[in-house]
Amino acid sequence: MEVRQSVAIVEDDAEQRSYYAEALRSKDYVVMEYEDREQALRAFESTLPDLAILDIALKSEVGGGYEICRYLKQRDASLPVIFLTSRGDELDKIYGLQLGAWDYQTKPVSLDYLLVRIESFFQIKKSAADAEAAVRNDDDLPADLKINSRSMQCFWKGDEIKLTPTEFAILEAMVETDEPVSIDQLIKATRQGVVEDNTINTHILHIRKKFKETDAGFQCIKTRYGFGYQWSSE
Amino acid sequence: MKLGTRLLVFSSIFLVTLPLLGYYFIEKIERSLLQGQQEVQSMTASALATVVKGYTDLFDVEEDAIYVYPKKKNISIDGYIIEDEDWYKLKDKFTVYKDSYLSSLLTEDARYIYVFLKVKDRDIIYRNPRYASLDSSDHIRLEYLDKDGQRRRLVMLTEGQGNISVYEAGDEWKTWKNGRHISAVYGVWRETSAGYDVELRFPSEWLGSDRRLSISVVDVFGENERYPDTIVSTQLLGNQILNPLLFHSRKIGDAIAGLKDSSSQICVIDKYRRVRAVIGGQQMNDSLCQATDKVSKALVENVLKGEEQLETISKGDEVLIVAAHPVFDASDTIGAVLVGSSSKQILARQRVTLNEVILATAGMVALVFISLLIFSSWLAYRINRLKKQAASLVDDSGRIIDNINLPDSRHRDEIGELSRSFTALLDRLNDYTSFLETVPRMLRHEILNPVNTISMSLQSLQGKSDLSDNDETGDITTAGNAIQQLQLIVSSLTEAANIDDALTQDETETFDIAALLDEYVSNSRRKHHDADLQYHGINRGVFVEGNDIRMVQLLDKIKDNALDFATPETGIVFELDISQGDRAIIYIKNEGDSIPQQQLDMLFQGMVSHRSVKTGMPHLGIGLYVAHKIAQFHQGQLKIANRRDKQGVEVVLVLPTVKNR
Repeated sequence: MEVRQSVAIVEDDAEQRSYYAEALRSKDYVVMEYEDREQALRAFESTLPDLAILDIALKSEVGGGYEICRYLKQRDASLPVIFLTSRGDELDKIYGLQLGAWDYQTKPVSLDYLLVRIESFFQIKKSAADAEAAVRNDDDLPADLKINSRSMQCFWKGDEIKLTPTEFAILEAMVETDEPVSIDQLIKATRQGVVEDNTINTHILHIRKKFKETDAGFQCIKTRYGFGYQWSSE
Repeated sequence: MKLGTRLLVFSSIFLVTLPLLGYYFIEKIERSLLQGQQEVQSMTASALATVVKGYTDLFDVEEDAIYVYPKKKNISIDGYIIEDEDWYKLKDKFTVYKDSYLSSLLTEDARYIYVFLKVKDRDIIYRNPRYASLDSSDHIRLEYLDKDGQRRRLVMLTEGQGNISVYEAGDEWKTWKNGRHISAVYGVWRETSAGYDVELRFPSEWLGSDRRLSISVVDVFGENERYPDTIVSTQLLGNQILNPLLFHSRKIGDAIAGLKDSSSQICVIDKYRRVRAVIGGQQMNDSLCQATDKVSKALVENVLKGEEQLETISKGDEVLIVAAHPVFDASDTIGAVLVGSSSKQILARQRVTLNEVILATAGMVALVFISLLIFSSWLAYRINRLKKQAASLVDDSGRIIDNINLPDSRHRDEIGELSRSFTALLDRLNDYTSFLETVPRMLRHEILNPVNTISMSLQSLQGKSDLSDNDETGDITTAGNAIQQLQLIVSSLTEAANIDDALTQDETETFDIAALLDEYVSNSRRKHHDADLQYHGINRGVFVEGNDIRMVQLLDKIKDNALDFATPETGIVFELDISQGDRAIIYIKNEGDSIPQQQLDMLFQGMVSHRSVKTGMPHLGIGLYVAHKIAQFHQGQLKIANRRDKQGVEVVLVLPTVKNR
């Protein structure tokens, strides 16, 4: 029998927390609920969950979520973390934490998308072994780029680029077509609720940076002013 | 008025009173000095009067004595009295005999006695050689006692104007003794409008110790008979004794010489007001002794009546103090002693003191002035520095942009206090602005949580309804849309609130604004199929410094605005004007309603919207505020105005250009 995955939820609002928990339990996850940083950290001392969902503001602590994340990263750098957030500037802060695996979900949270996100993290773990097999390498894809939609892995010129699930979704939306992709289309691809144009700009900035870390001359993501972005190998 | 100027004016008012006070004191001192001087002079006069009392015989002279003035200047014998020369200042001292028929004036030096005679005679008869007798023409008789006590007679006559002839005559004045012309006596005869003047000199050594001399003028009548008609003499009528000559008394002079001081003049007169001795007073106006002016005259008259006199006479800027004391012989007044002194020296001393006071005051005033100037500039500098520093701490929107660290905060004076209260004020402002800045964030958090709860309740509802009831699904979708709108409102609020922070975190680079505009407009056309977007301008080669994504954000805000207000079927024009060289000017124009003038200036302030257009999207007037902030970030200016060529609105963005590296 398959081992049930455990998910920890840290959220100070009891009602919202119960909705998340209910939705997760319906998908057969073991759910642990915590209402603030102290409670959560005390529990994590003894047992770490397989995945953590963190609200950033916890009661009086404006950045309580970051603190918990820092702790988790020390304990297990590969532990996936999903932040409940709403803005691009918070994205920059999370990015600054240099987590191994993370994603975010904007409020108001779509429970369906949240479940998809959690699912995809476990998918990455599970299919890491048979990743090679699932790599898409059809003719539609640009040269030098390989992506695995199931494990959300991405390879550029043979090197793996570690993207968050949201970044992966944006990249995937761009490489699926030769045409420029509008910001609105990219917003849709992130499967978030309300997303500002700037949040997409922030994501693109992060994706470019990650590519440049392995290939300093990377120039394939072009800005199409007033419309969106385009993957172009030229 | 500036603070420093005010301080200077007020202090000057007080400083000006200092020299006034000094002047007042000097005046007092002068008055007391003058008083002291008067007392000293009175005492001197009375002491001198006592001293000269011993010389009563010198005062005891006949009334008909002829007074011989001491000679002042060289006298040339020419018949003329030359003003200020010659008979210096003696012109008015003539002694008059018989209704001014004869006026005489005598003066002496070591060798001669000089005589000036003025004679009234309408009919001058000169000597004619035909007449042998000496008295057959108008002539002058001079009688004197020689060293042997013998009476000698000299006749002076002439045949016309010019030198006179002098002969010694016999008792009867008709014949000469020896016919010899006496050249030692030299004189000149000159006709005047009233008669004639005779000026002559006479060797004083000829006189005996008695020094007696008389002068008579003889007028001859008749052209042919020629007999003496009128004789006017200095002698009292019928008196056969010659006039005694009265000189300055050397004895008295010697007696009082010891009491002389440099600044005063001492003068001794007899009861006939003849000056018997004068000591000192070279620099002084000698009218004191001559007593010609009214004041002195009254003074002399009074003192000769036996009254002590003290008078202060002001003459121009000079004050003359005269003390007079009568000289008594028993109960008779036989003369007087006058002691005069000019206040010139007192005045001079006063002037020197006044000068010193003025100089000292001026120095002090200057010193105080300079110190006040320095002090006030120092204060003004500190206040200015405080003002500048305080102003530089706060930006246009009241945000504190630096650490609050004001100068002078540690000073214990008022400016230090001002600085501290400024700091406190700025601290409070800072607290308030940071409170305001956290409001949107808190608001977001506080609103989003219930919104999230509602959203999830809806999702839960949707899950439970299982799409069985179409009406319910419709309601849930409507609620979902409302939630999305709520979130848009919150997100645009936070965008505006955070724009400053977000901009400072952005990286800047040089980018091609022409290329960006060209591409932006053509891409926008793809996004808005139904709109007519046009770009007029070059498509590359204009570089600006900044962040291209932010520039697109700005253009989006303006473009969205233009689209909302454009009359359907009209174009929206983007123009790039690079004619200004170092500036790129971007116009975004649309046709449609214009904006009332009073609203134009307020449009960038945030939360101001004049929209009457219903777009279905929430509208808070934040777009233009954000655009304005982005323009500022690019060192540019954003202006909005009504179009002149057509009805509509144009937005003008001016950006400084740079050279591409």
